[in-house]
Amino acid sequence: MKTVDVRGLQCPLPIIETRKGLRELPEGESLKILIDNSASLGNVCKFLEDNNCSFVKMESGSHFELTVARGAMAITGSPAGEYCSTSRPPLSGGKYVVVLSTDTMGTGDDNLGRKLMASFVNILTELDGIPSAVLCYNGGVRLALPDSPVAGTLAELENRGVEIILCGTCLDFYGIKGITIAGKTGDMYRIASVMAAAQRVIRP
Amino acid sequence: MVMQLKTDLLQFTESGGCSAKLSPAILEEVLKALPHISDPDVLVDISTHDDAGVYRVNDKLALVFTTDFFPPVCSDPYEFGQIAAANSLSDVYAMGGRPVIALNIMMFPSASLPIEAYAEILRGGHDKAAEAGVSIIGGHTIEDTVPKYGLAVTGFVNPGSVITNAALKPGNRLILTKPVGTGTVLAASRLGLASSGDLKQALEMMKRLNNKAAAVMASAGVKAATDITGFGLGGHALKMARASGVSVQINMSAVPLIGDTLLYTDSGCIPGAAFRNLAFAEPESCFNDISDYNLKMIAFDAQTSGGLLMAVAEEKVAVTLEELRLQGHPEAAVIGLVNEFSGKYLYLSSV
Repeated sequence: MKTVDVRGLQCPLPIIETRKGLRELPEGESLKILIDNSASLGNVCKFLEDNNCSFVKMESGSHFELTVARGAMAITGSPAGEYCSTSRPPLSGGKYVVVLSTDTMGTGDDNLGRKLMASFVNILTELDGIPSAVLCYNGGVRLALPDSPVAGTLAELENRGVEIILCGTCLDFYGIKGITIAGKTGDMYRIASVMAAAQRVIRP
Repeated sequence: MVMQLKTDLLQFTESGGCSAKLSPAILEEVLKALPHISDPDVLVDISTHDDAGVYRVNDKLALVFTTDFFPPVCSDPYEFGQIAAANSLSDVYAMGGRPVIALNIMMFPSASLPIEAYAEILRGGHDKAAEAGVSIIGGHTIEDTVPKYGLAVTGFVNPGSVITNAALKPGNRLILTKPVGTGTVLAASRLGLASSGDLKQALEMMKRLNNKAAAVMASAGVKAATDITGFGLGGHALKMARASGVSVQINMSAVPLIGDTLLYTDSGCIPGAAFRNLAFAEPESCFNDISDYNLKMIAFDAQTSGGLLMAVAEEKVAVTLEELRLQGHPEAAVIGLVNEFSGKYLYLSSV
């Protein structure tokens, strides 16, 4: 049995952890949730009930234990098992994250690759849904330099609310810290968490 | 060398903005026990749970009187001041009034925050009031461990053109002027889940005055409206339906959302206030036609300085929407319909 321990966590973390626990639960296993305050208990129970996840509640000394069985149906009308009967429920919305790990696109000729990359980044601004974030690391950070053909496009995307993250270690490595004209510096933790939270990660 | 640390107001609070409101269920219970007001010049009081009280001075003039204050919703003191002021002024706009004068209400921990933060909060409030053409003519500050700020606002309204919660008519279309999701995005941002773009959009929405939307509303002859704050879109719509004795149908798929609000909700980022608002509304609501759990919870996300929800006659919908978009509300959308009462006050649906 998998256990999610939300004791000591403030709202809305108990729901986030419960949601994650259900999403990652292997087929046929049940989930135990440990909760230590009544507000969180009420919210988590309501969350489970509204998603038709049946559970058993037990008081155990200073905390509560919820045991969620799998195989229930999700809320009326939504795809079966939104929460409980499939391990990877469909995500809503259409947002995606773009990774630029080099300043060229494809392998073969680098001059061609630079042109392709410029074209790719420019086309991002014209798509129906622009990305929620663009992550630049290794050679990708050079795309934010003033002489890059797409630095202006990256700045435009940033103005439109796209989070442009430049890997700080990479800026240091190439000695170009402080001279980029788009994006904000981010560490690997930020890069990894944006990737982990993304619905789709696109790498040209 | 002394390091100058940037003041971060969010260190003081777990639930900022309108989500810090007392639970609507508790509030309702307590208000019921208060003595009934019998002064005939009191045109609107707490009995219809309206946005502000209205007092008739003479046949041409009534005062719209309201207050609102809350703990920080953002790190920056100046932005917090702007948002709190925009939120306080909004109640007057929602009543069809024109805010005129205001008083500052502030709680501030002078031992733990630099006095510059106090000055910045006030500067934000005064700048926003100036943008609205309102004079702040006084105020009151007390020491408290958690900073809180807002305004008490007085506005003018013609007694014949008061816009209330209680005037919904079957057939009216409901237009919402700002996207929903401030509570969710702020919570997600505090956990490092929200993108900086989404946080920025949420802050911009909260700072935006409802004055222009109110002007459009007046020209469209709207009789019923409210502003969306702590009880969430669903909670406020329910209060209007109940005050008017009708049923309100909201299509959550048509409601504009801030950035990735849906994604944050889907990952479980559902603030406690949404559960409180849901618990308040559920007995009088029908959720049979809402298939998307996330959208249902977003309907109860507590908003800070949210948009106006206005009831517009069907033939005026197109021109009103067009005008709202021209007046700086590009997100304005038709999100629902008023029906004869059919058993429940609130009906939520999604495609």
